[in-house]
Amino acid sequence: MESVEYNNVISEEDIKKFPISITTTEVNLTGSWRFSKPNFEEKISPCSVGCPANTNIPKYIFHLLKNDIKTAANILRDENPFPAVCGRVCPHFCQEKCNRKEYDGSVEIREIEKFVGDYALDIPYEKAQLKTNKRVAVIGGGPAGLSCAYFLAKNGYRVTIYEKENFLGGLLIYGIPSYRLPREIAQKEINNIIEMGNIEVKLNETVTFDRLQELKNSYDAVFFAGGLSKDRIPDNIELDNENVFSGYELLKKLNTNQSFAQKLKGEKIAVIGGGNVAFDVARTILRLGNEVEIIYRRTLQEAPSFEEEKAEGLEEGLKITEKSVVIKIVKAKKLNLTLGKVDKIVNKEVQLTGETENIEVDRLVIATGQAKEFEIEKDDKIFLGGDYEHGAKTVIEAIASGKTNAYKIIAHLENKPFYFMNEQDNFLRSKRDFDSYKVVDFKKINLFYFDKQPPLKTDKLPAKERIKGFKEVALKPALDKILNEAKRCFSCGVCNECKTCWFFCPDVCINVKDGVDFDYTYCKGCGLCSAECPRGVIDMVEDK
Amino acid sequence: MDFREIANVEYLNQGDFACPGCAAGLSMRHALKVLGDETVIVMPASCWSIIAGGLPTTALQVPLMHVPFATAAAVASGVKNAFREKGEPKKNVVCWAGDGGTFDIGLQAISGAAERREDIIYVCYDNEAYMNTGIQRSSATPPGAWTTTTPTGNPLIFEKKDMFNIIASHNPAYVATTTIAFPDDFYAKFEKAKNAKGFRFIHLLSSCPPGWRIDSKDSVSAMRLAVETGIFVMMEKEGEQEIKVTYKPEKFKPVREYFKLQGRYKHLDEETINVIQERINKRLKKLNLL
Repeated sequence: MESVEYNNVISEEDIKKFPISITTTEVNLTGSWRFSKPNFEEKISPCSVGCPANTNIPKYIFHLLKNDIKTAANILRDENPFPAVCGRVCPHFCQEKCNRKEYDGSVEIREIEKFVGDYALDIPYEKAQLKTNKRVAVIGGGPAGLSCAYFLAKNGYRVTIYEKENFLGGLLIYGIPSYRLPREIAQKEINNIIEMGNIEVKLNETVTFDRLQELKNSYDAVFFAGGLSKDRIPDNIELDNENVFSGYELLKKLNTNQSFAQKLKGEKIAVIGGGNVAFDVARTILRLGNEVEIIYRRTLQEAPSFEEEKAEGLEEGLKITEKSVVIKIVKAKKLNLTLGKVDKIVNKEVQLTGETENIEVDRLVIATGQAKEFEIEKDDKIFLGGDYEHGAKTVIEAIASGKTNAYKIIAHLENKPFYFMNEQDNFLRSKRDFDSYKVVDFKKINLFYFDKQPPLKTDKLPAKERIKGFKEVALKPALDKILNEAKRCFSCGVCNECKTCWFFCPDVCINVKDGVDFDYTYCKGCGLCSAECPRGVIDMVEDK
Repeated sequence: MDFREIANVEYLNQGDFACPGCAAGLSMRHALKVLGDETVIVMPASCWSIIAGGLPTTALQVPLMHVPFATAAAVASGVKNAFREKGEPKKNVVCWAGDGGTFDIGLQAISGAAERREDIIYVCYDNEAYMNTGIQRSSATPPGAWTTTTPTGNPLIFEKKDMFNIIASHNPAYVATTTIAFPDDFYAKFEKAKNAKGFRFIHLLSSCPPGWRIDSKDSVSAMRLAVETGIFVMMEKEGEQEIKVTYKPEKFKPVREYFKLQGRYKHLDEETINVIQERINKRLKKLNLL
């Protein structure tokens, strides 16, 4: 059959008579149908609340995934000047609060932080500008003091750090062994802070109680973070720094004196205590080729040391004698220790069963805690922080204490309320009412968008390799594994431009670019964007 | 699915007459993103006749032809052949019809077009009743559901018409069921339909907030629950191949959860729910999903 040309059947004139649309539905301003409207409001993730320094974790992970690691590093360091250190030694309170914990396991924030932190080591801070002529003295160059100095300097204050050793860093340098925290990493982060400017460092300056009163008169404010420098030792033991050491004394000596380390080789050494210091000391001397025994008065399970340290220590072959105390020491050629078995401990009072055991060791290390050297009262010019204020705690808590006090000092010197800081400096303290933060909980997460995927497992150096030297125990995961782990982040309450709202808007009213824009001229207020947002960033509010 | 990779081009205009939260408008928006601007829509009477706007306005950036209720597949066949004659064989001619125009009124035209192997795509967005005329029952209304013509619930003696198998028995080039609540599945199936040649049929589950008696913000989660409870199964059949189920949850949720969300099921008693659950289980077993 021959085809018929359609213009033979219908003429151009006929077509004009057809009812044909000549305009679009954009003439209907459907926004007038609306009773409630979507509102873009970023909220706080539980991990940020869990972190003592309130790092904006979802935000830096978002920038990391956007291939903008420099911005990620800056966001991280805006809240915490020690990301590479914390990526190694922080117990990660953030991970305890992670919304993913009850789904398929917390995001390994530690590894992501370590990765970003390591990258940031080579990025110097922007030079700090001097904004005021007020001067602040910081006593103690440990994490708390350095953190306080960092936040003060960044805000334009002139800071002087007084440190009694001939190096900065405190525990980061001589306390934490290098198999957990390589010294050059801590050193680099410290250097970055000092090179930022506005900070003067005075080494070998011991600040006594009297000296503190002098400083108080010559500075506008003093931040005291002298740490716990006095050893707390059982009554029946005397330190002689030859055969009987305190934990920190020994670590300091090993770190600064090579020949001393050689001298120790092959000896049998007992360590008393169950905290991180005890395990750090024990694992350090184990690496020097010694036989080590930890003596602790409670069970291993009750020991306050990090679980990871305990597990790694056991793998490396630490011997642990639980529920025992040293009741007698006889110094002969070697040390003869008499251990008493503990029955129970009531109100810190040790009750023995009567059973005893004798062991012979070459040296004894006491790592049963630290105490304050002298008491200082807080007043309008003296601010206390770090371990000195809150007792022996973690590095991140020291950093947080330094940071909080820096802001307290600024608020005090500028006669402003405490929570005045602008967004850049601390996103959690940027709002007036600290309690009014909206934290996104697990129920607000739209789980449809997240497949179950177990968290990243960090590889460790095998125990046999570890004890041969001081190589870092935790190995660095490959980049793709880090990024994969970063992708697991729910990004609770923080928009990561996933465009889910855009996808589900039936009215083409959403534009996603640096946040979410709504076209209220046409938005009918259906609420799909709010219901489908995987991370609870969009709320429906009444439209008046 | 990474929504950031989807093209920003829009073929749906703002200001359409869809109710807030309407899944039919949303489905059209994304279907056209896949099908592209070489598309012509043929539309029988349906909600979408209203959504598209009154004369002289249109909600689409592509040509749209309003046609009588029973004729969508027949008109589409003609349009496609006319394009071929004109030397534009690549045009996608797409019927976009509701469940009334597909399950009831348009069925013979569809069957004819399928039998003739017409090179068209037929999309049925199924909101399970005649919604825009006032929620009257259709043969796509599931048993138990309230409509204005079944005020005590659609009697259990009825079953929702099995459109997938009716079309599949015509041996079309492609037949599938899907919903926009599963974006990956939706995009993959429209992509397959676009690339196949011959008669192609896509059955979309499409929620209707006023007709299903749900909050407009729940319209996507309702469709998602339909799939997760197994009352709606997403599957496909390509040419001569076997029927393939494209989504199987780890464990099907009880259908009660799907009913609980919707006002049109709120009158159901335990016994009725159990009967419906039994029917669903039977079908899932038949599909080797249980």
